[in-house]
Amino acid sequence: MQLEIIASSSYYRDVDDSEPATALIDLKELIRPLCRENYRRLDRYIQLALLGSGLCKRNLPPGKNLNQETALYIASGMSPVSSKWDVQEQIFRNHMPPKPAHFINTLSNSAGFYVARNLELRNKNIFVSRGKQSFEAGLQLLGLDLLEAGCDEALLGAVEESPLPLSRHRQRLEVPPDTPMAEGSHWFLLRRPKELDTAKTGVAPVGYFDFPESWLDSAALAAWIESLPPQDTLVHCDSHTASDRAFSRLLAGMDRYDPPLAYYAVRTAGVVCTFIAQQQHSSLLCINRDRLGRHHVLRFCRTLP
Amino acid sequence: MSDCTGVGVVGVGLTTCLGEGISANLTGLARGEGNYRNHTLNNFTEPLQGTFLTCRPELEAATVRQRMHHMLDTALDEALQGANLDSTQARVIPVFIGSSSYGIALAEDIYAKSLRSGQKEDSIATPVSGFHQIGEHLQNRHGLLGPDYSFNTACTASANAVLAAVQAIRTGGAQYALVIGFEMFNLTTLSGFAGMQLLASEVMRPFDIRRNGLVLGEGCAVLLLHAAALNNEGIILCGGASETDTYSISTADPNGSSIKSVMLRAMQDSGVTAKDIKAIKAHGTATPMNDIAEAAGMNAVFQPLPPFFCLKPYVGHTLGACGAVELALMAATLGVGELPASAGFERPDPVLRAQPITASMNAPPGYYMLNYFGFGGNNCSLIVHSKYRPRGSRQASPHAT
Repeated sequence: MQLEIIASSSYYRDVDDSEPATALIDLKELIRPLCRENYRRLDRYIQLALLGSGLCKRNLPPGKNLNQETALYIASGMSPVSSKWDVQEQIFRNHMPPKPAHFINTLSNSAGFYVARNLELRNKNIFVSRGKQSFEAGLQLLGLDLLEAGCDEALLGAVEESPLPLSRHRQRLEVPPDTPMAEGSHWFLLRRPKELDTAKTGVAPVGYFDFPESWLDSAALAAWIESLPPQDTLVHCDSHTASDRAFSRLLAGMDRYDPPLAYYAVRTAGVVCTFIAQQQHSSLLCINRDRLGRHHVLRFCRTLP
Repeated sequence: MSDCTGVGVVGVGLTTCLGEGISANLTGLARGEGNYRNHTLNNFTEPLQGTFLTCRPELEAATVRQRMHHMLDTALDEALQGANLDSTQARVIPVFIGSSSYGIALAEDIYAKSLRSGQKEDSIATPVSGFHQIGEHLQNRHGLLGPDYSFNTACTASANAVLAAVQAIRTGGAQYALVIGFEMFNLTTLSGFAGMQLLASEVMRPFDIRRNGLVLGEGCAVLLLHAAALNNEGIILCGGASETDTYSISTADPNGSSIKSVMLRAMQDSGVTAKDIKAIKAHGTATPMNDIAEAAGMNAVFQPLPPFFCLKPYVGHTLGACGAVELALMAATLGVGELPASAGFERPDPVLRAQPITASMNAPPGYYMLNYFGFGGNNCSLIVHSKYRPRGSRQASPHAT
């Protein structure tokens, strides 16, 4: 099954706190023209979600509106970590209970609430996490929803922040102390493919995702890759997969795609968005192995495979 | 109405303040009230009083990680007992987890110990990602390597996990699915709810005119779902719905419109109508606003209201776990053919025009609704079909109050 991408948007920014004053740009001015209301007491995670989702709405094809029945999915490895951090400091260092607005901001689905309110959505608002494979998890859930006709269209955001100081955040993430860091908010409006609709409107979709899969069996995955039709495919994979004997021969014939994006948990979504924007090759295969040896695979194609 | 073609609940494991295991929980329900314990949180400038419903108080001396794993392992073992899953099936089963706090208690513990050790400058708040903690344990200890999904949608987290698991089975993507609901005591949640003035002073009284808030609880429920329909006995998940109410981030629209909407969608998804619903498990947080919105929503859908009851006075509000915990409890009570009385309710609130049952009653085979509402505007409603028959001799009374 394929998932058709009607529209997408991408906000990405390196976060470098060698100059703390300018490490994180102020998002308020970027968000203001995208919001129906002047929302108050928003943390950075909610701001990132509003920014990305607002841009995705702005990128809708001419004549296309966002249906209020659109399901909303947000995927993230860490969710609003800066708010959680602040609240725990308030409790354990300052010995004070959190203020209500701060406590509410620690909830992962608060971002979804503001996005739904801003875009006037009333269908489900789901937040899902699976570490560095959170984007893939969100796409899998959303795919099930579309497949089962729980919704006709779904909006998926992959949102991640990198709070300061980065040295502490790197410790939390257990990444090396010199790892370049980033924040991002990448959004996709998806539906089941409707070829007739595309023919009628003359608006080509951004592209398609194959229904993403998690593979336990490396040999089966390798066989699946080998069965893919030869086409102009680039591959993005983690270093473990690249050096794995089961894949090295298969992947040797494919050009690698690794845009210069820094570390954040939903980096794969950023890689896909960068690929989409470059408009050069026809398809991208992303393979990410987790620490249990499971491979999480997604394939983007500009046209229906 | 013919039987729905749903997903069978073929294994249930449950740990709450009432005890470990379905049997202990049924005994606790029959006892009539939860195991309330008052906590004084001394690490604040002004000590906070908070009533809390604790699992296995005797395990308080154990480490946070040990308690967490104990709750998960106990419920999982019970759910899988007798399921006859072979190792290959267990290895690939998708796991749908719902929790509000995930590993927050663990993160708090590490941070507090670090601060106490005198390393204040080097201590990091939120030192570990909470989301990993449950999934990693299930993978490492139990070899559950199928795709895992950690839902975090406040009090509807594990209810949404149930809906997604049903979708995974309905679409043919899985024969079996596991749903885990987990919630564990932590200071962030308790002090956060205290700060919002949502905690009851003593006990929960849903839909009572004297209701003054909720009591938090901890618990773990595991549900094993299977594609095959059950023949003579059991609980079938017929469907449900999840919607967003953007009225307010902390409460549903008090006119009940959004709650009405999600209940109607759930029934439509399940192929049933209001007249098919035998009884409702209400969300029933006993906060002034929730009960107003919930009563308004139920009154807008059902005329007259079917019998309804609340489980939180027994086990506390287990937040993200309540979807699975209360479904597991509901399955257990339906399994013995009985609906529990709504503990804590004595005096009706005329504004609500809704009174929960105050005595236990027979639960005939048929359709039942379970409602869950959460912060962030998340509303969720599930429909189950019970094939169990009442084993007692009492006659069902339509309205016990």
